[in-house]
Parts: sequence; structure tokens; C-alpha cells
Amino acid sequence: MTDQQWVTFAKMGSADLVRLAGEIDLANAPEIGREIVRHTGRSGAVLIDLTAVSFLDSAGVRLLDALVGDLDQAGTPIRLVVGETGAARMTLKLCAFRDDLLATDLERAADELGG
Amino acid sequence: MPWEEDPGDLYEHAPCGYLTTLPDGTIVRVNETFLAWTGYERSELVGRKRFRDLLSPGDKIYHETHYAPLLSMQGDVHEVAFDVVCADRRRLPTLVNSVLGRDPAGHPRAIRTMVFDATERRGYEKELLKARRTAEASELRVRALQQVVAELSAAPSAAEVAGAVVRAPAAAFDAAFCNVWLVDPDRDQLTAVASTDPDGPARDDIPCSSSRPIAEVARRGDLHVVPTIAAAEERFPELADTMRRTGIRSAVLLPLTTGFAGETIGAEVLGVLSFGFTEERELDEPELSVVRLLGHQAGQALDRARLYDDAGRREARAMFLAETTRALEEPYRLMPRARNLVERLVPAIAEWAAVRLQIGPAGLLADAGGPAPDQVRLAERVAIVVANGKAEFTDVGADPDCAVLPLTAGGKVLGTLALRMAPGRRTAAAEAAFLSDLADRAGLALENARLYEQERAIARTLQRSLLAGDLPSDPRFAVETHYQAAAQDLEVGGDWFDAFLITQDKLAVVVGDVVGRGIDAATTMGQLRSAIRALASAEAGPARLLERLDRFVDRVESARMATVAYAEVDLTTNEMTYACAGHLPPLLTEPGGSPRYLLDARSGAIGSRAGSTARIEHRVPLSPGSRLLLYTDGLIERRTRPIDKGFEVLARTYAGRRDSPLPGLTKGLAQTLVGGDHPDDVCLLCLSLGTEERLERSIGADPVQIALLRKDLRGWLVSHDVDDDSTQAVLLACSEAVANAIEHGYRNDPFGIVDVTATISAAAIEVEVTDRGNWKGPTGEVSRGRGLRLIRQVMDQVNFDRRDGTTVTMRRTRREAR
Amino acid sequence: MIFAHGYGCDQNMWRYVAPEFAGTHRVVLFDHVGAGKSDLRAYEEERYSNLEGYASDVLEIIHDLDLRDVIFVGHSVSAMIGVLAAIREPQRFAKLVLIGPSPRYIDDGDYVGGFAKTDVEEMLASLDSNYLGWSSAIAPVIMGNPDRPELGAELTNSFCATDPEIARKFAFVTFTADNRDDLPKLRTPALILQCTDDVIAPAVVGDYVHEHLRGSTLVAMNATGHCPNLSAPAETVAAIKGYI
Repeated sequence: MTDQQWVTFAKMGSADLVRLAGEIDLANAPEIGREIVRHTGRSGAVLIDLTAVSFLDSAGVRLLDALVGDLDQAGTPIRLVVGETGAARMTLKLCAFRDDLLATDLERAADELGG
Repeated sequence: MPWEEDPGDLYEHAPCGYLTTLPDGTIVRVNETFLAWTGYERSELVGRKRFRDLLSPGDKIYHETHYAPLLSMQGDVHEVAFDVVCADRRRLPTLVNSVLGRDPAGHPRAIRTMVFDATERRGYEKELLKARRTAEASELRVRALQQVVAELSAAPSAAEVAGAVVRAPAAAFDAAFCNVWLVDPDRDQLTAVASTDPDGPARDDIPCSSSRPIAEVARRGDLHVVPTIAAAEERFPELADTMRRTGIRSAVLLPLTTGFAGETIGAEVLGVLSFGFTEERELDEPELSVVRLLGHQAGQALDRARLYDDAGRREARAMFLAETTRALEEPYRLMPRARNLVERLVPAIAEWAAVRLQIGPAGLLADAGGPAPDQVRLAERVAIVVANGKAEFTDVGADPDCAVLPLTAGGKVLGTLALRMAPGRRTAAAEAAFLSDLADRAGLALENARLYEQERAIARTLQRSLLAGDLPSDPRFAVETHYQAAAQDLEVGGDWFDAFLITQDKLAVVVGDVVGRGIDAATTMGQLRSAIRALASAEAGPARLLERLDRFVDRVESARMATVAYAEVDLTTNEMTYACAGHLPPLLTEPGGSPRYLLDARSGAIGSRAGSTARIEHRVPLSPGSRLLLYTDGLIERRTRPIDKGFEVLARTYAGRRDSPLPGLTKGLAQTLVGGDHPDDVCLLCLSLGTEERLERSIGADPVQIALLRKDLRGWLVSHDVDDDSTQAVLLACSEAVANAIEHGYRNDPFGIVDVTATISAAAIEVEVTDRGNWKGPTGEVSRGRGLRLIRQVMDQVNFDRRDGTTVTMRRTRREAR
Repeated sequence: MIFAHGYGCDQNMWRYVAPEFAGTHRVVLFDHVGAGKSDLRAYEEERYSNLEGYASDVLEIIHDLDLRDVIFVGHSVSAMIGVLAAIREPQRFAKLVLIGPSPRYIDDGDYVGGFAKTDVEEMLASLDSNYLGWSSAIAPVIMGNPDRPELGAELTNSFCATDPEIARKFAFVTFTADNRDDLPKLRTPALILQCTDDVIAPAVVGDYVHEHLRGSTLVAMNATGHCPNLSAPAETVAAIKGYI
């Protein structure tokens, strides 16, 4: 698993883009969380792309929850981009994540944040 | 005649007093002599006073309780000593004789009393009496002292010496409020250890440097007699307060010193005896010498007791160390060993103790007793001790008696032992040598346990990883296996099972047993297992395979004498060929038939030099529905019963479960035959020609392993055409349950194992996740709560069983069946 | 009926009273340990360091003889001993007759017992004086007539012979006892016989006892002194008979 990059960072418009991939669970969620916080500390807006996530457990949810909480508090807009189906969407829906946080289209979400 | 007397004059002036009284004592006649002695006028007495009215109050009682009854009973009384109170209140010592006169009817009529002046005689008597009382008091003191000395010589401990000494002043001097204080050199203070006060000794300790009188006497080492409260007021105002409060009028403070009476140079003060008197009292010289003698006798007894205590303590410490070292060898595993250590320490040595080990991400903690010290301060001190490996026996601040010692092994700091000594015991600093010795031994024992854990974990992981490899699945057959480790925490054994497809249509099943235990056995087992997989071929057959294994062990010596039961099944014809190399015979049941042992095709163990290595094989046609059981000797061997009996029991049990479903069959057999308490590993494999499915995995308590488990589970679900939603749901639920086991069940055990079993039927998927950790109830942590909620959301039935560890059973109905 | 003698004497003191009841009652007479013909070896300082020890003896007698419906007649200190025994095993006692009882002899605050503490000490000294006289005068006589020890006894104060050491301790126990708190605990009906001019147990003490013993009867006697059973046996017998 060490060869796999769970998290990569990029810019998309004015927003910071965080791409997550592969399986996110108890084993790697804390580390991924630290990475994201390090890269998005001063972001104006954050996009988290979960479309390549093949598994998401409650530790991953915990991470996203904390992240959203922090950014909300700082007034930083955030969107979570998930596929129409798939593991990430299932878990987040089960955990009743707010609809306004979730997006299915990355470009549109970036536009929304930019506007 | 010149000697003739006038009776009247004789009566009046006789050399003794005469009184005549009525039976109730009223004086009716009295002579001049009595009046002259006492100074009363006749008119004051006659008809106005009773005889007893002239007596002192004490004599009045005697008159009423002795004189009057006696007189009335025997008619006369002789030589009773009374003090007559004269007109000027002076007391006249007299001796009195009385006769009771009766009338002819026998009724008392009058009492005639003769009174002799007994001044001289009574003076003499009083002297005698005083001498007697003095002698008695002195004898009492000597006897009390002798008693105390006898008790002291028999008192083996300082506490018992104090108990004997504290009773002495009351016995010898009628003293009150006696207290014994002992010098505690470790803490540089005086502690009250015995008291005649029913509330027990005072609870406040007195620093040796205090200005309080007890400390002063201990420092100066000489006897202080405080005869009055006023005297106390001058020198020790505080003592005066105490005296007033306790009703003491005179006080004595006596140092208890070593050395002989009279020696003051070099004598050491070991304690102080204080006592008082409820009335002001001067002690005379003989009394003072008795007091001093008491101080020396008590001091010597204390000195002796101190040596006894010291020797006793050394012996107890040595014994404790030896016993602890022995006791720590008992549990092999790390946490039980750490627990064992703190539980031995509390309360025997310490009131609180904690072992912290720098193992695992959060470290391990075992503690006992209380109160625990301030956690922040303790964490700081633990960090310092871990960093420089030096023990800290005291601390500045609120908790000076809390000690922290490093637990080291081979120069490496493994963790710390922190403790606070039990109250009333010597301080940790005073016990430094003992505690260091204890920590050294504990460090070694814990390091050994850690190594054991490590090796055990490696061996188990190795064994499990080898055993957990994919067993083939096919609609034409099913394989059910069970591995049960020995109940005692022994090293892993070399038992194994395997099943693999040699070709698309040829299945091989194996159960074997390598000699020895531990990592070596696990490694050898892995090598043999791989060798069999590599050497098996469509053409070779069992006998040829065993021959090749014989050659293999020439290169892998540790595999020599391994035993193997090996069978190949042709899935197109259902014909089986098998061979046994020194292994127990397979057990076969066919539909409608009784179980039978396959006793053909037997030869010696692999690489055996004494046994037959002429490898032979045997063919058996199997009908569909047949079940073949391979197993290792742990299943049937019992020290308490012959092996043929074991075969019998197995056959009977197996027959009884002929119609049971395959899932759970091998586990059920193992539990029935060996139960929970078995000294050896047990390994079983059951091949069923038919289709039933089951996935079984055991993973270490490490989050990284969850992903590996998911990979297997995903493959298994997909191979059973489980729909996408159900697959995602089962993967999520299973991950959460395992994460829960790791985060909670094995919170303190990084070496724990989580067992996962998944079974599938046309209707549903069922997953069981088991840990053997300590569940401590809901933690209130949001995160885990969310995990459990997710499980309940995606599975149709969820059940938690927390009897022994935690078993989560989850069931989800398949989409086709919904 | 059990007759218990008071301090300073022995069962002889009942010689004019007890026979009057022999026809109607089973009469039990005894000597307290240390008095009369009691076995002096039975004296244990610890046991007899308070009146409870003597009360235990009374109960032992009752048990050994298996007595029930006991009418206990106690003189002086034995009155209080009887009260203590009846408190402990009320089922054994029918009635108490208390002659000259006093729960406390020494004055204490508002309480009048009749004596000061120094009086009691003086009395102990008085005992010592008489003990010396007794022992010096009598002991040789007794020792000189080993064949007839009773001869010594006949020569002088033969009644109420007590062991002087024990007597001294009994006196101490008696005159320093304070049983005022025990009075309200008594459930057995009691008759108090109060003499005129009793210096040991003055009338005020009798009134105190009467007031604190529930259901007690007080009879003020014409007899004077502390021993109406000796000085006025007829009146004493009549008072007891009138009550029982």
C-alpha cells in the first residue's frame, strides 16, 4: 500500500483541490487528515474530490466531519465531490452529510466556490 | 480504806470515758473524763447527740456498717478504732468497747460504751500504716516495672514495645494520659504510636526540630518533670494547654534512650514517653529513679526491636523479591505479568503502584491501589526517568513520597514503575536499595514477556498467514478447517492444514504436523506446506509425493519426522487416493454409512530412518455427500486415556454430527473432543463433496490489517455473485466491527487477534467478528458510536455478545432474496 | 426470697428477719465473696471492680438453684446489686425490696448523696485502723488455737467477719459507685424501705431512688440508722410482708 498515494493536492481556480483515492479507513485516516490540514490551513476555499475513493469507513467520516467543522468555523467554503454511486457516497449518505456539502460534478462545484 | 473508792467518783473520773446511750445512739449519760477529753458540755450531749454524731464522717460510715450491726447481733463490740470529733473540731483517736443491755423481754435497752484515749497507739499505728502503704506502693512500682521489663523482653517489634511501655506509668504510679512517641529517622519526625487515650494515639507527627516539648525532650535526651500547670506555662505554654484540656495537673516527659542507666554520652533517643497525673504530684527520688529506669529499659527494648525490625524487614524483603521473581515467571504474557507485579506490590509494599511500558503507540499501563498522584506531574517525572534511566525516590511538591523507577533490561529503558509506599511504612528513599532491586528484576521479567509476546505474535502471524491462504472454492466441493491453539499460552505448534487444486479437476487436501514449537516450527511448517504444493502434480499421486518429501527433508532437516496425511480427489470421478506418513488415519463418512478410519496406505514419518519409507497409496471411490476428516493428534490424544479410546470417541462424535452443516463442524468437533482446556494445538480439515461456503480469517490488532481482510472478503463476496450494494455494505460493516475490536477490545493489547468468519447462503450473508479483549462499556466516543450506527444501518440483524471478549454477529439478506 | 447483706456484714444480719419468711417462701441466704464464710479464693479483682460483678454472682445463684419469681431483699449496697441483676434478667424477678438503697453515696452537683469524696477516703483510713487493731489483737489468738479456730471468733467481733483486703476494695467499689443512670432501666416492682436518720442513705436519697424507679413504693420507717433489719426487725418484717 505504501506505493499508493491516498491524497494529492492541486489548485482549481481559487480553491484548493484535495484528491483522495483508494480505501480510507482507520489505518490511514489520521495521517491523511494531518496532510490535508497542513495543505489547506490558509485556503480561501476547499474542494475534496472523493470520486476515486473505493472505501470509506467511520474513521474517514470522522476526518471529513472535523475538516468541515474547522473550515465552516473559519468561514472557508468547502465541497465534497462524490460519485453518483460508490462507497464514499454510501457512507456519507448513511452518516447524513448535508446535501449542500455534497456535489457530483467537480467543475460545477469549483465554479460555485469561485462565485 | 484509803483504796476504797466512791463509785460515783470512779464513774466520773475513771481513766476512760463512759457513755450510756439508747439503742438508737442517743447519749443519756456521760462521764467527766469523756467531757474533759472532748471539751463538750454535758448539756450539749445528753439527750441531744447520738454517739455517731461525735464521729468523723468516715467513721460514721464505719459505725453504721460495722459497729451498729455487730453490736446488735452479738451484744458487744470490742476495740473499734474511732476518731471522736471534739468540741474544738480536734480529733481524738480512741478505741471503743460497747455492750448492749437488754430488758427481760430481750429488747435492746441501752448501750454502755467505754472510750479509751488511743492517741499514742493510733499515732504509732498510723506510722505503721504509712510505712505499709509506702512499702506497698514501692512494691507495686517494682512489680509494675518487673512486669513491664518482662513484657519488653518479649516484645519483638517497636510497636509492641510501645504498647508495653505505655501501660507502665498507670500500673506503677497511677498515672494517666500516657503516650509513646517514636523517632522516625527516615522522616525526621516523632510519631505517636501508643496511647492510653481510648481515642488512640495523636495523629499529628512532630518534626524533630519542632519547639514542642516532645521534640525538645527527644533532642535533649533528659527527663522533664513538670509539677504544675504553672511550671508548664513558663517553659512549654503548649503543654500547659494540653494539660488543661486533658485534666492533667503534673506531667512527666521521659526520653527512651539506648545505653545503660546513668550513661548519657552516646545514648540515642529512640522515643519519648509522656504521662501525667490528675492531681499535682511531686515525684520523690526513688520514684524518679524508677521512671529513669523505665526509660532505659524501654530504650534498650526499642533498640533491640529496631534490630529485629530491620532483620525482619530484610528477610521479608528478600522473601518478597524471591516470591515476586517466581510469581512473575508464571504468566508468559506481558500485560498479565505487569498486572501481577502491581497487584503484588499493592497493598503489601505500596498503597499505589503503576507500571508503564513504552510499547505500542499509546504505551501500556497496569496500576493498582490509590490514590493516584497528579497525572501531569507524574507524566513529567516518568518522561525524565525514561530519558535518563535514573530512579527518583522523592519529589518536591505535593506528593513527596511518590517514587518513579526505570524498568530496564539490557541497558534499555522498557518503561517505569511508579509507586507510593503504604502509609506507616518506611519511605521509598529509605527502601531505595530494595526498590531498585525489585525494579531490576521486574524489568527483566517484563522484557522477557515482551520478547515472548513478540515471538509469539510473529509465530502466530506466520502460522496464520500460512494457514489463511486461499482455500479453493468450487461448487463441486467445500473445505472446512479449524485451528485451535493450545489453551495454555504456549508457543505455537507446527500443525497445519492445506487444500489446493492441482489441476482444474484434481483437489489435494493435507493435514500435517511438524516436530517442535515456536517460530522454527511455524517456519518449517510453511516450508513443508509450500513443498507439498510445489511437488504435487497431476501425474505423481500421494506415494510419489511422499517420496519427494523424504528427499526434501534431507535439505530441510527441521522438517524431518513431520507427519502428513495427504489425499487427492478426482472431482470428475469422485475417486480419492490417499497416503499417511506416520500420521493418524483419516476418518471417512459416506451417506448412510458409519464413520470409518482409513487404515491403508500407511508408512513412517517424513525422512524417518527407522520407519518404513516404502511409500504406498490407496484408492477409495467416494459417493457424493461423503465427508473426509483429517486431523492432528491433539484432537484425540489425552494423557488420561488410551489412544484407541480416543479413536472411538472421535468416531462416535463424528457420527453424531453426520447431518450437521459443514460450517462450524470442525470447530464443534474440536470443542466437543478437547474443550477449552487442552495442552496441544489442534488442527482439523473436513472435505465435503458438495457446496457450502465459508470464509475464515484471523488478523492481528493492527488497523493496517483491516485493508487486507477487506481484500479477501471482497473477493469472496464477488465470487459468490453478491450484488454491489450488499458487497459494499458487508465490507463497511465488517471493517467497522474489526476497527471496534482493535480500538476498544484490544485497547491495551497490541498483540490481540480478531477472528472474522463469513458464511453465505442463498438467502443471506452472515459475518461474525470476535475479539477476546476487555470491553469496558460504551466509551461515549462519538467516533465509535458512529461506526456501530453504520453497522446497524447497513446490516439487517446485528447482535453483540460480550460474555468473553466481544462477538458481533451481523446478517444481511441478499438482494435476490429481498 | 433471696436476702443479700450489705457492705460491712454478712448473712447474719438477716437473723431476725429471714426466719419470718421461711414458712411461706423458699429462703436463700448467701455471703458476698470476701464476706462471712465465702470462699476467698473466688475473689478476682477484675470481676469485682464494679457492682456488676456482684450482680453476676446473684444471677449465678439464681441459675444454679433455678429460681423464678424471685423476691430479692437487698440491704444497702446489695439493694443496688439487686437492681442491676433485675435489669439484666427481669424475667427471673418478681419483686425487689430495697433497704436503705443509694445509687451514689458521694454528692455530685445538685445531687445529694450524703458524703464528700474526702469522707470516703477517711472511711477507708478508718477501715485500715480497725484492720490493724483486728489483725494484731485477734490473729495471734486464732493462730494459737489451731485446733479450735472458732475460739478466736468467739472472743471478739465474731459476726460479719470479712477479709480486710477484700473489704477495703468492696468499700471502695461501694462508695464510689454511681448507678444513677441504671435506675430508670428497672422494670421490676420495688419496695424502698427508708429509715429515719440514716446517715448512709439519707431520706433525700430514698426520695431520689423512689422518683427514678418506675412503679416503686416507698415506706418511711420509724426505725433509725442504717440497719432496720437489726435495729427494728419487727417493723422491717411487717413492711416487707405488707408489700409482698
